[in-house]
Amino acid sequence: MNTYLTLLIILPVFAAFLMYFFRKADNWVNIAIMSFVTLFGTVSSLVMLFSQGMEVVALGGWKPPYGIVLVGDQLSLIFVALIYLIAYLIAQFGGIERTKTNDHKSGALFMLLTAAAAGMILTGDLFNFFVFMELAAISSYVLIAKGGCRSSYTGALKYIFTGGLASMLMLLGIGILYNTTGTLNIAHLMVRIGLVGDSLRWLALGLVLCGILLKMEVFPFNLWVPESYKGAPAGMKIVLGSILSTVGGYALIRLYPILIQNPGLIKMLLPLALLSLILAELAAYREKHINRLLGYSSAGQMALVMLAILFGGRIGIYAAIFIVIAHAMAKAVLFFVGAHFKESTGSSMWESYRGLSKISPIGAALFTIAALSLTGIPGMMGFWGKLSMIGAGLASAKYFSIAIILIITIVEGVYFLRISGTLYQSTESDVKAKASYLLIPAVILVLIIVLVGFWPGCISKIINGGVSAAERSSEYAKLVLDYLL
Amino acid sequence: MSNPRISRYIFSLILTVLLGYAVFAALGTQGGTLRFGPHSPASRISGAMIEKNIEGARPNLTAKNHTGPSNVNFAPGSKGLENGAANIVSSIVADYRSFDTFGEVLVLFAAVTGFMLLLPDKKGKNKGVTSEAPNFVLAKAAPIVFAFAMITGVYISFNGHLTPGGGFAGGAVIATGILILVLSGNEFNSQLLSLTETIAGLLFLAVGAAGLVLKGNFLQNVIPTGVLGYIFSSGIVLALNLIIGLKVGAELGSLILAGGKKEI
Amino acid sequence: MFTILYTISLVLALIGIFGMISQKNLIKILISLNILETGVNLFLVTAGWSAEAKVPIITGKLGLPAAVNFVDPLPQALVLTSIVIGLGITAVALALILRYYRKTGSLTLEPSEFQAGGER
Repeated sequence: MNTYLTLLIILPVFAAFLMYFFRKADNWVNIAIMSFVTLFGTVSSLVMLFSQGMEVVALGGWKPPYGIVLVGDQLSLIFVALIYLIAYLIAQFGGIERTKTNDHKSGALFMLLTAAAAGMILTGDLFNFFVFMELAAISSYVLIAKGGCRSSYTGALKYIFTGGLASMLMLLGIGILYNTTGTLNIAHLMVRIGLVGDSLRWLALGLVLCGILLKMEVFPFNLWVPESYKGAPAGMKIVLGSILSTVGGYALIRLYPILIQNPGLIKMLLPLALLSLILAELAAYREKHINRLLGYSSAGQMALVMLAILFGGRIGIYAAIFIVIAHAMAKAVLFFVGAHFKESTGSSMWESYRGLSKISPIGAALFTIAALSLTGIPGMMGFWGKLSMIGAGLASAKYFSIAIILIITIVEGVYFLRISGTLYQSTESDVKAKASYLLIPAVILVLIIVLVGFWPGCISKIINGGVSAAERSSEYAKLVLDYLL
Repeated sequence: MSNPRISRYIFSLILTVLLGYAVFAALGTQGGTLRFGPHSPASRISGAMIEKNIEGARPNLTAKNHTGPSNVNFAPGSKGLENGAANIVSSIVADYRSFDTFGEVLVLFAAVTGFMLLLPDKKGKNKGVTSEAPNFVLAKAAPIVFAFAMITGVYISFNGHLTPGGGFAGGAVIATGILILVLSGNEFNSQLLSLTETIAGLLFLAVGAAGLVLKGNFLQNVIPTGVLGYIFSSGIVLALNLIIGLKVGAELGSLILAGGKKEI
Repeated sequence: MFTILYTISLVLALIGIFGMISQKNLIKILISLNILETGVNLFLVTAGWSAEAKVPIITGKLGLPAAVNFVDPLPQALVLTSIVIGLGITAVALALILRYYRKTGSLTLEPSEFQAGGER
């Protein structure tokens, strides 16, 4: 078990180094390596998730809080399984877009990105989180720019500068936290956070959150979103929407026990999240370019996750985890299907998808189901997330926020249904369905979405385990710190 | 606003001043407790790292018998410590928090790979960054300086656990040697550098995997730590410093080669 | 002394932030980012510093290593890591800026907007 948890991070790294030796080989060799690694990660993290509770690995043999630990509890294993599943689907079907030259380099960067995402989720150390965050960031800058058009470069540059600013602020926050509490271990930090004076704790946590909010695409840090989503290659869009934002959501959930000790910070973050939600969804409503629209919608959904966490309580965390999972799956479906439409029609403007349901009925159906799930229609996975979210809002008496969420949900439903309506319009067109293999991963994910939609009981036990792991900070701290003592 | 530039400056200034005010005000409330040193030495996790006392078996390092090199005179108690590096920063970088260093090496690997991937794909030869021919002194001195840079780089990597330095500093010095060669118009085999980089990366993984297989934890030390202050001591710190030196040298070298192509 | 040191490092970081927000030229933004990095790194090292303490290298003359005797070595190790990360980001950013310049012939992200102000 110990070994498998470590392998989740180092196996992709090994694959990244290995790709150099296959640089002259055919493309399928790279795909085979990437698929094998990510499939292994998916299976082993699922096995660990279902088998037992908590696993702590002391890297280098140094016991926590001194050394760096990997913590595999219910919460982190859910998310590792999720990102590995999506990474597998990207590696096998969608593909980090490949050119003739430098195949192995994109593949190596994708593997490093996967390792970094898994590392960010599994690590129990704040500075190690920062290091893996930068690894993920650098790989994604390059992979976005691989798109090769003007908006790829613009998006990547905006992302680099916003990301650089946010991560340096985060490092400043980590420095302040270390110097006042004398520790970097997250569990140890939960115990010692009281040592920091009120206003300094407010500042330090705010600075640390900058890095996480960047990944979650929350308002001041989401200036890079539209261009990056527009210009990135097909596979990278899914990475941005479904893997990196998921990791951001996870990090916020993990820091929840530290966060709730600061009511002042929550008061400040709540309007920020609401503003982010409104801006993102209104921008999506006006958008004609499908990928930018999906990017804005991502930012909106992540703002929703943040709101759920800020509502707090068991049910708030439950809603946050549920929405993150539902969003990651639905967004991956939408991007896969979007790439399929793009290949078929040669256009990224959704208004030109008129009558596509005739040519690609499955694609249109998948798109509609995923969009409905994102909106939160009963019978889909997203519904249960939105429902618990409303419950959390009612429990914490945040009626104004609930009203805004409901209004914005309608906006969201309108712009998604508009696209679906366009797809089902009956017009004559002579386009042919191309790249239909992109629908295979979408079908797999939609099956999960519908299954969970009708029978949420099948994963609610796991999510409840995750909620307990996230919420009971004292147990988490005890389990991590008592390890090997 | 008639002049967008000035309004932008004013906006930025206000934002920066607000942020600065928040930072300074918050730091001011904490008084002097941000300080390390006499104030709170043992309360930080680094306290145990300095004392090499994480495992709880506090070694006795009193200076008595003169058994080692001239600057080292520790009692036999300094043999087989939990970590044998005299340079405490090195002991943290390459042993206590070696997983951070692992991530750091990967960051550099990703950056170099991305740099190569993003540079325009032209078949330029690695023939110097300037169009002018190198002058006489540079041309003649470059091979000599290269040799000294290599020796210094390897020395710094090799002594990283005893003196200030380590793999990253050593690798950077090695890369300056390559830079001098490129500046003087010499060729350098970039394929060799890529191969070195990959092999060094695999070696890093191998050292980590050895700990995983033999002791049960990734990057755990499996080499005897020796006597504090000797060159062959400190186990994994020395091994990782050498590997990092090789890898960083090769990576920065290929950055220089790729950036130094004439027809960028 | 301590207050002066960390004030200077934070001011340096703030100068970097100001540059990043106010500048439009990509190279200038990158330089500002590097200034910000330097400031943050200096802050980390400074906060572990103490006038009475020594360099964190054990030598025979010091004898028993006790935490009180040394400057905090952990921030120094962290800064080592963050410097390398900064190098990586700078390298990738420079390559990207080069690529962007080849593609568009401009060094600002919005070429038309600020040309009236005489800025390139």
